[in-house]
Amino acid sequence: MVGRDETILLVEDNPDDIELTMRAFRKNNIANNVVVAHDGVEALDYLFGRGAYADRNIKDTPRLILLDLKLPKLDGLQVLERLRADEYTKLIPVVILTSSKEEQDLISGYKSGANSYVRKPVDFNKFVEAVHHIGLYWLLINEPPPDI
Amino acid sequence: MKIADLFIIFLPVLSLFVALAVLFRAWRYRPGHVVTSFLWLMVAIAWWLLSAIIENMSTNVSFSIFWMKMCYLGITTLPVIWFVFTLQYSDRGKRLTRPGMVLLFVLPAVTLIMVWTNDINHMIWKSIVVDTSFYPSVKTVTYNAWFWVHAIYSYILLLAGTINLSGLFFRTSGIYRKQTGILLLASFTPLVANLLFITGIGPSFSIDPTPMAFVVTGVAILWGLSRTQLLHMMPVAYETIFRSMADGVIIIDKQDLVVETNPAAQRILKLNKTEMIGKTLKQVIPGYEYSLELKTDMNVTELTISLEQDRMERFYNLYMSSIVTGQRSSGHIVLLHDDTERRKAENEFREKAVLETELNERKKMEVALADEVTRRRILVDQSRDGIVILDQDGHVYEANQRFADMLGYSLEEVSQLHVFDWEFLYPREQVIEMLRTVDEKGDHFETQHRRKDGTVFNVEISTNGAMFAGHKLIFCVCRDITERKKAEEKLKQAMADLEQSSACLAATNKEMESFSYSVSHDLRSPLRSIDGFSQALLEDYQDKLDEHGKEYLNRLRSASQKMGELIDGLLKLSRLTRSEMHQEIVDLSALAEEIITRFQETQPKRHTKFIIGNGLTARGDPQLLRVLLENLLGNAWKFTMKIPQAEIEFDKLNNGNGKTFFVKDNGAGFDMAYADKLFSAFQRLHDTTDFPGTGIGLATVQRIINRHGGSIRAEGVVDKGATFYFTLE
Repeated sequence: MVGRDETILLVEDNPDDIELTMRAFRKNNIANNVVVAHDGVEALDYLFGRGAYADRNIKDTPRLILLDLKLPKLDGLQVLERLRADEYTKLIPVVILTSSKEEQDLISGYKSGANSYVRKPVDFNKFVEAVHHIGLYWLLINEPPPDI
Repeated sequence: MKIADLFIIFLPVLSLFVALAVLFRAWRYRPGHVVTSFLWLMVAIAWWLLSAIIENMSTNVSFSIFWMKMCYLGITTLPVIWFVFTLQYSDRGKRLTRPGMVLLFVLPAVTLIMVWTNDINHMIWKSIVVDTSFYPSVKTVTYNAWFWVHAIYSYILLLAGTINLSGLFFRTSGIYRKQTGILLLASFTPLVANLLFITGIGPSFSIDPTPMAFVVTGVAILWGLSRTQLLHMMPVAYETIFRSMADGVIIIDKQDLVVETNPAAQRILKLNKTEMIGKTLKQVIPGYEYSLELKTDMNVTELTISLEQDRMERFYNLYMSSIVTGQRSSGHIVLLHDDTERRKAENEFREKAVLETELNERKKMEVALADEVTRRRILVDQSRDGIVILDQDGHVYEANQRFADMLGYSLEEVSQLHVFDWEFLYPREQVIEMLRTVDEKGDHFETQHRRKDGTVFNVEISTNGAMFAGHKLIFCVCRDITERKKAEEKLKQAMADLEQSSACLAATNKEMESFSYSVSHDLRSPLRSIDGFSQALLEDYQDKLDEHGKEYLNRLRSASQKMGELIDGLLKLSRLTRSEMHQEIVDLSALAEEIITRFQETQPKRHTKFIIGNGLTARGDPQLLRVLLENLLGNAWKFTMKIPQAEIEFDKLNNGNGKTFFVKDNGAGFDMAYADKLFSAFQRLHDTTDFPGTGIGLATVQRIINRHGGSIRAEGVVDKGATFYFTLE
């Protein structure tokens, strides 16, 4: 569907959700390189080239970040705030992908700089459909910000 | 007949008529002693004349002699009357007593007796020779001794009368003197005439001219009477009045020069008569500035002058009146009337009146004040607050019964107390300081008082201080606030309790929030896994699953999706109770139309008749009211989906308080036996397969209505329809 070199960063702690999301990607023929971070700290390590990702070129930013809100160590909103504060990562499109539909979460999500907010439906078919739309929009229709 | 003879007859007759005319004219001036004697005088004259005329006309000797004797009735009485007249005229009539008068008539009476008895004693006439050959008859008489006694007596009386008049002439002045002068002159006429007749000197008369001369006198007197009101004025009386009157009188002539003053005027002006005569009014009356020229047509002029008299200021009213003789003013009479006493009396009266008014006012005020005091007393006595007045040292000056009752003392005991006896909270120095500093601006504070029995209670004091006759008094209104304090304590406790419970509530809410958050987040994840992996199984292992296996996986999936919906419903319900309300007037008709339009868009093929009342409004939260109508109309929409002629109505009831709305449909309805279960969460009266739903809708409706303070009830018949009645306030 899109160039393989473009990475999607999936920040998700629940292995079931990781598996189902990857399945949904597959079903939608999204063949991008998907990097999974299992908590907030890992996500930031990846983005800022620290810890396990120390040798990574931080200028090579992911095309899209799918961010869960409820995460161990650092939660989704904290991750969002940090990456928005960084010179290299502040323009990366971020789609919040979460179970919560709480008004408070929606507001703080957008306030912290989320580009989109998608609620994971219980029905897997609907989830696949949602992932389809996300991929279509953010990877194809939307023009990404230019590299810095 | 010779002309002289005619004259002899004519003149007495003329005189008689004149005398009678005078008598007639003088008659009007009666009564009065002077006029009376004048009338008698004229009667005597007239009689004399009448007798003389008859005597002379008579040809019979004895008849003539008879009338000659009759003459003496007038001849003898006339001098006496004349004398009496002059006495009275000169105001000496009162010297004449009744016996004196009788005495005067003794001699004329004797003379008359002698006249009528002359034939015997010949004391009057020695001889009477009547020669009737002439006309009128000529009598030659020789007088004897008594005649001369009579003559001398008569002359003495006539002379005395004349002397009376002369005396008057010299005593009086001005117009009176003029009158007296005329009278005096007239009185000489008969004297002279008689003297000439008796002595035979001068022209010879055949008849006695004396009565005729007296007529002249009478005419003169009458002339004076009518012309200058001679008799009426009683000059001497006026003179006496003039001299003795208290008012000052100044008479001025045409040249405005003083011609006469009375003693009162002299006394008032402190000038003697000679200093005033011949001066102008301006010279004799200090402060008199008026020109008399201007006053001539005025009868009376008045002004008030102030003069010092015996080192006291006295006020005189000045009156002026013109003396008019004929048509001309011949001078003025100026009268000075002492007005001081009247003024003083008037002032005193006025002062008294003012004083009386003041006294009345004061009395009125005293009554009003007494009433006011009574009213205040009642107010103080009836007051529910204790009232006490303290002096500046803190001693009780006055207190009301309520104050005594509050402290448990009698009123007498309280009056002996000092503020220290009851003040419990404030130290003594501070109390003294408060007494010293409190002023009319007042103060307000709470303290505690000690009763007689030692118990202490809370009071609220309103106090202020004021000065009375150099002494400061402190007014205190004391209210027993024990009950209020208790109530305040209770209120405080209740507030504390409330605070605590609201803190609990807040904590509960917080918990609830985090609970629903975790429900929404964490409960859904496993469901998603169940559903997701069931789907994965169905897709990836469909060749290894038989139909039963696939069926079970589908059930797993629908159960998990159903549970997702339930979780969402629960969250929505809890959010309703937590969200803040924004009250405003909401147009329910418009809202209902909007909702219905959306329903019809989702199922455009359905034909449902909607009846929405016009202008339905209610006060409430617009979001919540939207959810309310969505649920109620949604239910009606849902439960009429199998009815060919579906009908849904939303309106307001006409009866009752006009605040009851209703939503009515002709759908599936319900059994009233289960009506109580309608509004509980997750309670359903219909099979999900017939009418899908979570059982949250009416519970949500119930909660929204509760939050608006309203109520809801439902009526329904199975397969006939349901009606939901609700109010919002």
